[in-house]
Amino acid sequence: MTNLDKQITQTLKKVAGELDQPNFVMPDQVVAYKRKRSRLLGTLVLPVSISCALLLTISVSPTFAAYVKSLFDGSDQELQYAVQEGFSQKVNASVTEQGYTLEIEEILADPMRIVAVYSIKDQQKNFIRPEKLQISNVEVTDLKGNVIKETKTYGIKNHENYGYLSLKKPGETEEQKLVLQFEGNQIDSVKGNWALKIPFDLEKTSMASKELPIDKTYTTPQGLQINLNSIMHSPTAARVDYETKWTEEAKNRLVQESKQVKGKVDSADPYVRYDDFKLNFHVENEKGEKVKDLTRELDTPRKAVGEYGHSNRKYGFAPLSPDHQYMLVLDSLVKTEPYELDVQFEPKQLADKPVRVDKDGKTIEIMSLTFDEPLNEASPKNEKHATILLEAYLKDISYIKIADTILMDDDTDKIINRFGWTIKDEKGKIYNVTGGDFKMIGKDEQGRNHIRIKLQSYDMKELPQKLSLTSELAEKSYDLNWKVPLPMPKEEK
Amino acid sequence: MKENHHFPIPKEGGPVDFETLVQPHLNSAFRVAFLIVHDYHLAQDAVQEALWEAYQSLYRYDERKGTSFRAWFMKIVTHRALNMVRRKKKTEEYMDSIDPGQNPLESILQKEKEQQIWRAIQMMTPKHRSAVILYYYEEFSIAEIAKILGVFEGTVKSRLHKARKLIAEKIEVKKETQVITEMGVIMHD
Repeated sequence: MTNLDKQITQTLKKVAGELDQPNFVMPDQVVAYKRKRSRLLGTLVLPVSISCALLLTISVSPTFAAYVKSLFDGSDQELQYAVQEGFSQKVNASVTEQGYTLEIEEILADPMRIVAVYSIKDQQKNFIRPEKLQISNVEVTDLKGNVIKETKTYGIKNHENYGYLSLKKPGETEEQKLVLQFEGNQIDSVKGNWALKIPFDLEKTSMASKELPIDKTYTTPQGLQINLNSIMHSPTAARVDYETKWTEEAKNRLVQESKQVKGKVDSADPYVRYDDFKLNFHVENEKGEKVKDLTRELDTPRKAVGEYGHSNRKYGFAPLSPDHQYMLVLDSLVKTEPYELDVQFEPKQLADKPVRVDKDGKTIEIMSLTFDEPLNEASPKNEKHATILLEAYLKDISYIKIADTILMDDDTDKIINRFGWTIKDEKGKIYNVTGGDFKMIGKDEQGRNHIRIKLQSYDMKELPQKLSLTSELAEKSYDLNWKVPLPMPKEEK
Repeated sequence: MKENHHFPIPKEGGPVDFETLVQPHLNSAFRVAFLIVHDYHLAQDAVQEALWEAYQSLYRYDERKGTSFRAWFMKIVTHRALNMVRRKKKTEEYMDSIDPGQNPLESILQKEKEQQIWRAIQMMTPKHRSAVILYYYEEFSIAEIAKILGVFEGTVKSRLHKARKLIAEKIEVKKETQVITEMGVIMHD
């Protein structure tokens, strides 16, 4: 690195270092909050320990209790139960520098995940908000200092006085005795080095964990073969391991579909969308009560097993109670496919009545085109913009991207991807879609999904004479209903 | 009936622990967006949009493709920030609109050379600037930057080369002017 290189780095770090971090709305919290009211009976299944070997009476950790209370919908209750069952390890390790003390109070580690709780205090023992800590390093190693690469993904959640560090997939290593290394290099505006090494072990939780075979296979009408391999039970979660692959007929169909979207996707040619699907599962008990989904908490990305989308995947959920019987239910297959929607209209006609287009079993109704509608939270403020409101009746369509335009291409202004809607006027001018809404209203009498879409464009300042709206890709959701009983570990007497 | 979700749309059965995944990268994401856009509120909007987009398309993130979550998220942030620059104004107009003398951040750059570097970075086109920021500030590799920006590695190299040249020229010009001024030549032109 030359001297100039160093100066560039230094300059950028200096400029960026002066910025105060703004607050951001977390999409998952918005959704969790909205869903809370409609799911009052959603997660009433109480998990208990799957092993009764450890009958320790341990009071509920206030730290984890605060954690559980902190969440919108009471999620991560399973951590609380794991603590109640004695799987949490008290740590109370601390380091003090520059008047600030960083302390790790507790670690809960099982083969599915590791959660460590930390706090920061000043010289007067007042709590400093955990987000003031700039974390410089998080690593899990074995006792010899070898980094366990499986745990490389970590996340931070802050709530009031506590920070919650979570690491994924410790169970993929065979090591039982591990060390968490946690380092920060700045608290508030004070630079320093706060480094902690915390030994912990997975022995107790590994003993209380069990993997059981399932071995059930199903092929969806769309040609996706699903093989449920096994279920893993652990103190903080359960997880089903399954494999997916396409039938030969489905592979050919996917190749045809890829040709239709050629040039519109951000991938090298030829590109076939073998992997571009999602399976929606849920687990329910004998009363039909749903068990909470934990797939994201457990970080379960797919792994390629072979070519053509043959992959190994996992579905994670809250630990199961031996007092109930459970079924894994496959609800739907969601797949992105070429799906053409095209409607032209004269905006001034909308003054009289909506413009309705019926074509190939699809109905689109343009309701209005207005300017200066209220802004949504993701939009720039105080700028004139157009809003087009349309209603669509489309079979199986679960989602159409509102906007996803990548504008950059190598040294040109060419648009290389346009996954969302395209708005074009009579002169060929394209107005970028810069925001909008997507609302599923329900089903019409023909069984089609009734969808309300709002498209906003900050590029459009005047009413054009003619407009065309087009969209070429959509997500289709195919309902499925495959149910498989889940094997449970036998209780130890 | 499904609920109404604001833009963009979270997927059904979507992640509930998205924050845990994204939180470690938010700080630098905002800074990268700011360094590209040069506007606190637009950078904030860019990152907020990126959060929605990342949340919505999280299931598409595939670790086995060799991209870290950080790089995947930063790709979205970078493009959102670049779109924000575009949305604001065309590149040339945007460059003209920057008045280096009015930039309060310059007061924290004590050394004159740092100020020159920052001005040079501000005056670059967004595509050169984004390469510089990802390379020098975020310390991504050339290969990672190529993936993030959706260009060839050679293109990244040439953009960085050009950017370095622009910065070096800016420093040189300033140096020459200084020398001339010190000699009093300009005074008697």
